[in-house]
Amino acid sequence: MKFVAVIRQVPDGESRLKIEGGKVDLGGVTMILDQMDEWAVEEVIRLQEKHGGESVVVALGPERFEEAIRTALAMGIDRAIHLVAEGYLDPITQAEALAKVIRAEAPTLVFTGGQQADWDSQALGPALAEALAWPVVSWTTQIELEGETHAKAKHDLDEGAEVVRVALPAVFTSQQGLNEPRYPTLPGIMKAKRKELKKVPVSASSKVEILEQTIQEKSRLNKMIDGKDPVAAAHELVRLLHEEAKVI
Amino acid sequence: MDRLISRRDLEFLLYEVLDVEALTQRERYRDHSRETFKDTLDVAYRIAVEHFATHNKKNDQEEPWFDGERVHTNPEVKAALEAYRQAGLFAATHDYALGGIQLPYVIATACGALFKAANIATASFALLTAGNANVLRKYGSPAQQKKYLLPQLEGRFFGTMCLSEPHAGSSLTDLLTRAEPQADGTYRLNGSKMWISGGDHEIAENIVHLVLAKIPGGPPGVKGISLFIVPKYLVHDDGRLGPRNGVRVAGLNHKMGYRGIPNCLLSLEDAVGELVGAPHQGLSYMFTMMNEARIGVGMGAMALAYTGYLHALEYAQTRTQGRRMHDKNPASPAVPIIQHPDVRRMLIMQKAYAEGCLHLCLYAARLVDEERTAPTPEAAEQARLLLEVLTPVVKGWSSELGIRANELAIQVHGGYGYTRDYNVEQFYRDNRLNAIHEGTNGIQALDLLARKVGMQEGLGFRLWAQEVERTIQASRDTHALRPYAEALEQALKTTAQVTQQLLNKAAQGEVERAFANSFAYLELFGTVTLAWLWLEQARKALGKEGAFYRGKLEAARYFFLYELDKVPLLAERLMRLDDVFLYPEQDWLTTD
Ligand SMILES: Cc1cc2nc3c(=O)[nH]c(=O)nc-3n(C[C@H](O)[C@H](O)[C@H](O)COP(=O)(O)OP(=O)(O)OC[C@H]3O[C@@H](n4cnc5c(N)ncnc54)[C@H](O)[C@@H]3O)c2cc1C
Ligand SMILES: Cc1cc2nc3c(=O)[nH]c(=O)nc-3n(C[C@H](O)[C@H](O)[C@H](O)COP(=O)(O)OP(=O)(O)OC[C@H]3O[C@@H](n4cnc5c(N)ncnc54)[C@H](O)[C@@H]3O)c2cc1C
Repeated sequence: MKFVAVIRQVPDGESRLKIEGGKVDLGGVTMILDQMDEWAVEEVIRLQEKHGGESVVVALGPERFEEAIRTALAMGIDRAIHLVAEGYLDPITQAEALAKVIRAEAPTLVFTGGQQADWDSQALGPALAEALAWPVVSWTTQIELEGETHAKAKHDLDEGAEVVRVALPAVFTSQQGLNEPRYPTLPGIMKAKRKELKKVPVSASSKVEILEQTIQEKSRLNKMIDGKDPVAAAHELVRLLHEEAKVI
Repeated sequence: MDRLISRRDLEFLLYEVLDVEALTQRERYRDHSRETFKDTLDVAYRIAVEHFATHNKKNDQEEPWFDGERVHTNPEVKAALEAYRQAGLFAATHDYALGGIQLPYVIATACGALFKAANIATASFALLTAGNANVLRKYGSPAQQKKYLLPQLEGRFFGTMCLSEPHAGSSLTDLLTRAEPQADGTYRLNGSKMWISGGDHEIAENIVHLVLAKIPGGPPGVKGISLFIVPKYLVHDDGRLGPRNGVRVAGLNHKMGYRGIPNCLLSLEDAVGELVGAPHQGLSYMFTMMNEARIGVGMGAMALAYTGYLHALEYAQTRTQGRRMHDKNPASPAVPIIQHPDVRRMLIMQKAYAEGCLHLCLYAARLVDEERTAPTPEAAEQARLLLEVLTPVVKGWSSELGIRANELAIQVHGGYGYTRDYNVEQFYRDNRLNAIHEGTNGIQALDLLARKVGMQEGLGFRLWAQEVERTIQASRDTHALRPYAEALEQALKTTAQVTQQLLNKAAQGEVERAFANSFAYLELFGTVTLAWLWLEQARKALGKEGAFYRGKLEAARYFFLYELDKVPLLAERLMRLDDVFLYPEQDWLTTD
């Protein structure tokens, strides 16, 4: 069996982003493996630990994505394929480029992140499934293989969840609750250096072009407090007013 | 923001200033690269933020407690150390064969700084264990290493250091704990050990105490001190745990800070101990751990100063109060306090102390790597000597400046800084310990002046002076740096004269008079050392674009204008050899 995770690198949520010449300036910003992709990587490693076979990550993006690839390899992924493309590519174009490589790999299944932390796009998983003509299960919180031909999966809907059986190969996208990802280990970091990292240049051109970017002003960031537990919510509100807004 | 230690600054110091990448040319570190360093620091940073920082306040509010049988700690402490363990951090610097990754000590130190900034108490369990393991790696027998070292590197056993006794802290000569040899080759230890950090808890499977004690009939004083392994649970040769050893918790100390790690009075009651190395060599073995622990204490002081600074900086950027001095319009909006000169003063001071001491700690840690892997034995010996000289400065001066920095962080927060709703008062209380443990700063000052600078006919001092001189020469021809180079040159000359004068006086037999003002000497030496390092940082920042580098130049400017100018005053005070602090026979300090 072969399990593939598709990953991206995004700015750390803690970073302060700046706009330079109408574009987000990533200079000096800490870049990390997208957290939803991290769940995908963890799940792929767990599937391999349980069923054997091979685990692979595929990334499409600029050279700097190599850092995120190293993180996945240090977590325990066997090898990586990096489709190198500088600049923005829309999800459909990305999916087409990825599909070529993934079809050639002929994996048992593919995992992607449910949503991208930087662009908030949820398109890549479904677009990739479409390009491969494979079924897709989005917002997966649980997966269990039934032999090599089917998987049973639980996935979130807006107001609930469904359990489905899906024919393999298929694409799954990750959702919070899928797993608790491990940290890379120090020995893992050293081993990652010796793992295969294949670079494939990509020359696709994006069908969508970004003309200008702006960043939401901090003053307009509205914070929603979960009101399920009113006592906790009140404490949280007081804390925010005190520590962040500093008005009480 | 996490506000631990700036990753950007760490990278600047490690790569642009200290050229740590050059270590990857050494055989021991051959498999490493800037990438493996970065990835290791990334993991450390994440675990520090996600598992250590999260319970720092709880550790302070809910102290460990003793139920008469067991010592209880917050469950988050164990969870954090479990994440640390799983990542392989306990063994990081050790050989591959021992489960390590042969990580340079300087990178491990940078990781340690992150954990200490996040939660100094929880981090201390790990760092004590690392120090303990290093002693066993160097001096333990193969059998002892198998039984006690490997489980520590796996993070299953934790380590302590048991030097102090209720009546003897600074003066280890006077230790009373006795170790009686037994027919089976082991010893039975009896006595009390005071202040033992991590002395008991339920976090690890076992605790390996490294205990200093005297074998009856041995030479008097420090020459009669031996080192023993005393486990909490006896360990069979095959590694299985046996019954509890005679190490009993007599009580916990209730501390001002560092509250998350229990601090114990331990009673040794016929405790079974194994001798480490040869008899009567214990103190020199323990110095392996103490020297490392002293760098660790300096680093902890710096880490608390650094995180306090970042907290103050963020507060000053968001707290609005008052208006600029030239703005007389009461209707104009209040400005963030970072715009007030006096607040900027307090921030720049913290920056200069925290970032300067980070440089100092990393410099010292790099000397450990140098000592271990230098291409020639001469170079290794030089690194060792220079480290000997710098150790009391790392420990003593970082902890003095660290407390000052934390005090300023409180001040920037105004009334809020004085409350427990904010973090800075805890940093201050935590940091207050660093001037006391691992040898008080009074003892560090004496160590520097009475032992280190005079070592090997002053060779230690000359090596330090050479390094300072190298930076002076490298800066002298740069227009922007020339005034700093000249000021440092003058300060270096002054320090050499003062050192000569004091050592001569001591050699003439006036030891007390020569060394009575050793604390001022530590201040002098520490100030010149930091000025040297700030010039080095300025040199590497000069000509580079961006606010980060500009900030480095400004902090260097502050340091030379406001700190180095203390040198003539301190020197004069030292050269005078006055006797204000002498004549203990007289009862001038009486209150009647
Ligand atoms: C929280 C905490 C944790 C600790 N953890 C450990 C641990 O894990 N293991 C361990 O073994 N110890 C530990 N210690 C002990 C620590 O190292 C000692 O407290 C320290 O060495 C000082 O010893 P003392 O407390 O007996 O003070 P004293 O030695 O009584 O010193 C009191 C004062 O007199 C000064 N003084 C003493 N002798 C001289 C001298 N000759 N010249 C000039 N001034 C002098 C000191 O500088 C100090 O200001 C810990 C202490 C604390 C508070
Ligand atoms: C325990 C406690 C008891 C108190 N008791 C009382 C009481 O009984 N009655 C009462 O009325 N108040 C009381 N206070 C309030 C106290 O007087 C204020 O905390 C103090 O005046 C500082 O104000 P602040 O806390 O708002 O800090 P801020 O005014 O926000 O100051 C924060 C920092 O900015 C600096 N700063 C602010 N403005 C300027 C400026 N223009 N130029 C340069 N630096 C500036 C300050 O020096 C400080 O370092 C108490 C405070 C505490 C902590």
